[in-house]
Amino acid sequence: MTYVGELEQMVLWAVHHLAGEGYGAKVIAMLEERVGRRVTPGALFTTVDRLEAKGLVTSRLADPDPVRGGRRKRYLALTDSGFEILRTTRADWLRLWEGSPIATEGL
Amino acid sequence: MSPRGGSPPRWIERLLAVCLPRESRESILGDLSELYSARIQEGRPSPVVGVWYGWHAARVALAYTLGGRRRPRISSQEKAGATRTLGKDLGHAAAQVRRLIRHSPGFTGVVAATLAVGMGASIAAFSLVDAVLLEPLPFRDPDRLVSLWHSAPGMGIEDFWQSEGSYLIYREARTLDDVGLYSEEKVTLSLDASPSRIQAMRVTASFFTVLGVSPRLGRPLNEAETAVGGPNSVVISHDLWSIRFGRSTNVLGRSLHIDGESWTVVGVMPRWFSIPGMPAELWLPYRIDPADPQVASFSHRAVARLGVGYDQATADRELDRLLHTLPELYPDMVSHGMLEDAEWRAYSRSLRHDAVGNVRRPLWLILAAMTLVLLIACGNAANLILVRAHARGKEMAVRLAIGARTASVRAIVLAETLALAALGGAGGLCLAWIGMRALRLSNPIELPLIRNVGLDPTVVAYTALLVVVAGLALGEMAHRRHRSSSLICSLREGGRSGELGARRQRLRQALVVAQIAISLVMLVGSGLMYRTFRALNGVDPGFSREEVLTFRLALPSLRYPDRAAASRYFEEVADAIAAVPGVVDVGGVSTLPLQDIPSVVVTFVEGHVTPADEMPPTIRTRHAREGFFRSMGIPLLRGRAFERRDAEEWTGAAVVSRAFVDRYWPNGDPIGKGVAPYNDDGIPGDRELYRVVGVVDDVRDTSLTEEPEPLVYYSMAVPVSLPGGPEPWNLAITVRTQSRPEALLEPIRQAVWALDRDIPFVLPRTTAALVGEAMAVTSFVTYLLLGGAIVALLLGTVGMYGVVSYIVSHRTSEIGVRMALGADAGAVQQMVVRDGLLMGSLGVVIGVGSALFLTKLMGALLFGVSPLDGATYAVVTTVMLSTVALASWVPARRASRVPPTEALRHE
Repeated sequence: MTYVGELEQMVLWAVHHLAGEGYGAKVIAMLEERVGRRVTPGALFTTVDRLEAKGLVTSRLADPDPVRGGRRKRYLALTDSGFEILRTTRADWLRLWEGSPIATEGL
Repeated sequence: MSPRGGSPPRWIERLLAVCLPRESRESILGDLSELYSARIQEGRPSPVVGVWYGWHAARVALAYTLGGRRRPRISSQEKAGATRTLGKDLGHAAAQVRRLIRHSPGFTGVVAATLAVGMGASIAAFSLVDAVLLEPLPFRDPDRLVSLWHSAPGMGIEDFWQSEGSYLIYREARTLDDVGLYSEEKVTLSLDASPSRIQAMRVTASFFTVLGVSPRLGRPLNEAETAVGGPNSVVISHDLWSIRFGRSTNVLGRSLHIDGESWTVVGVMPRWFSIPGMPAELWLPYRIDPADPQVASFSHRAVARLGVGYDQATADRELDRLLHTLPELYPDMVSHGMLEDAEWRAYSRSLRHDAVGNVRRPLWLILAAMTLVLLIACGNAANLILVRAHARGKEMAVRLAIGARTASVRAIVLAETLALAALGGAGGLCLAWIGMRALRLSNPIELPLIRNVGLDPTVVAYTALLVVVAGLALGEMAHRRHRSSSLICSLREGGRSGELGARRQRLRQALVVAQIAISLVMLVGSGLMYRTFRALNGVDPGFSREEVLTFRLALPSLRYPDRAAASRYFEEVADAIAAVPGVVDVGGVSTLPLQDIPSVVVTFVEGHVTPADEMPPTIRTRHAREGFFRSMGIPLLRGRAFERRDAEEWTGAAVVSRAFVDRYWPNGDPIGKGVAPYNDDGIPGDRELYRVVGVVDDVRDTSLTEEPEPLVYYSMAVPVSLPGGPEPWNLAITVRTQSRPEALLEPIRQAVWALDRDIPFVLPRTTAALVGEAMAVTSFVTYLLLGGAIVALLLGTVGMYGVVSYIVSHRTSEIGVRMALGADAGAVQQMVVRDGLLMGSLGVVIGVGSALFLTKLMGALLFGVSPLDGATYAVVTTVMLSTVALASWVPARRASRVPPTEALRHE
């Protein structure tokens, strides 16, 4: 089982949430909007590369976009194992919290 | 400041692109550009967003260059990096700076000052390059703006402009949105009582739409005004509006007297508006009669906008095709054969290239030179940091011994060097700001676009980049030092400092060798420029450089309606000036060498056979009055010069230059031969033919470096009203004086104004100044390079001295032993100097090798000296080696004077 870190989980979530329409700048905006987390572009690009190297996301280049100076977007999508990881980590967390009423009390 | 769209600084993007792997390059640049525009749209100030962009671009670049190897691993550092923000980084750096200054103010001050000098030089040079060469022109979609040109290698003409006829046919091009025609012109503006001669431009209505600029006030000229017989409307510059009208909004509708006619102001252009390099105060309508355009006079410039989806190559093909319709439309003027023989072609060039083409290479050269200065400064800083790293070796070793991780030691070192670099960057910005101010105010070479030079976001981002790169490089080097000296080694060495680690010495020596090599390259470059400067100074311009004053007089045509009146005025004024004490000779000419571009006219030359279907020779032409050659000191080789009667009535006198005779009449006597400008009806008749009365020596006409071209001087009087004949209303007056011409300027002006108070007295210059202006670019580059080379040599010497002193101080005990065993002071000094010279020679060899290669790039800037000039190399090598010897000898002498007993005790 591949280990994924916290930022990687967040990125996987964003890619899943954006349903094939996600790309670098949009993922950054999404994470800031949802959890107030300011991911630096450098960190995001390396994270995405890493996720791709691990076989958790795939990417495809779209058509040139005049808004971005004619540069193509790299759209991201989850692979099956990426989706599987996202599913199991979510389940793990839910199981942890649900089985722990005491820990939940002070939150 | 120019309006910049929502796109990030282009040069950072380019730098970043180089660092990125091909497959992610496009998407990453796109994402960053999107984030950039999002920030701009949120209304953040663009300098802040520019810095933000530069910062993140640097981090992305680092992640992909340094971090490439460890990408698949997840390091805690990266996770930390993911959440750390710019603010925290800055806070951290500020704390580090405070700590540094408190604990070691001397070290910090010296390193920061060294870096500041280097960075200041580099930043100032970059701001020039940025403003003049990189920043987009301030027009809408500037990348699509081109200027239109012709070339006719078959006629020996490289670049020439447009005629009304060619403008009309190119307007039809489908690859061009539209074409605007413009032409510079000097006009006399009479406001209040005082007339002044100002720079104006004749433009078509399309000129404004092509550039995509709206006036600040009012409207641009429209098609009705630029049609023949249209109303007299004019658009004025922001400067004219501010100075003459106090920025009053009532200016619209006011009338101006221009060249004696009344014109109505309809618009005021924004402050920054002008074609780069061609400032103007007024834009007047250019009126073309579409039924009867001028076809053969290619004396107007054209700017065009490429249509969406077309590139320059496509447009050039269409222009070429349209050019070949010219003979069909105007069969009397141009034939197909003429186009073929002349190898006549039409092409476009980017508008920026037009404006800055001739300063492009000098500016890049200056930036490269100043970056070398920065490298040398970094070398010095590195040396100082290494010395300190050595001193702190024990501290770091202890830190590591008690369990600090290598990463945190590295963080400490990096933070320190980044802080030093930041201090240097701040100092550099201050120095650069001073330099830029000085440059902008003096603007010695009238650089186009120089108004934009300043501390804009791009320049700040460049500074940030220098800081990051210098800080990281220095930090990485210092860190390696700590890591490579293993724990035990450091502790032991720290315990007994008698010997230096050999590797440590080698790194330091390598730095010095590099500094010497770079200084040498700088010295060779500036030496070559200096030789060029001397060679240009030695060029004989063909006229006297001393004791000649020139200025221009322009007569209002209303008050001097005909040639006779104008001619009479110039006779009177010549007599009045000649009467001023100290004046030797007075002359007049239509255009001055080295100042004005001479008219180039299609000319009939007696005895010269032009093959059918080929253009007759085009020859540089001036009109001159009595006294011109004498006052300018142009030697008369044969025959006679112009006399007063040649201006009063038609004598048909012409004087030709030596190059003219050499080319067209190499054999036989040129005196009495016929020459004349072609007129519209073809070959000039007998009554219009000029006869050569004299031959004068050549002058350097358009630049000091070009070989003299054939030149013909006509007398002022004309037989009939010839098109292209002399404009008697506007003449340059040349005055030869007994001594300093500047001192006579005021008496001469008084004499001119005593005759007619209303005549503008324009552009007073000595011929020495004319030559000086022709050398301005060379002087500018020479001074800057020499300045840079001197700074480089000083920094290099200080670096050399520091390293040798350091090494010698660590050899004090060794030297003590040698001297105790009987070596004398001289031998010890020799030994140290020999070691220094060994380093120096290695640096010189590497430097000469690099210089041989690098100075080839200067080729076009050099004149009268080869890039491989032996003398320059010899002098520079000698200077370099003497400096090295001196820098080694001073510490050597000190060491050899220490008494052996003390030296042995030295620990």
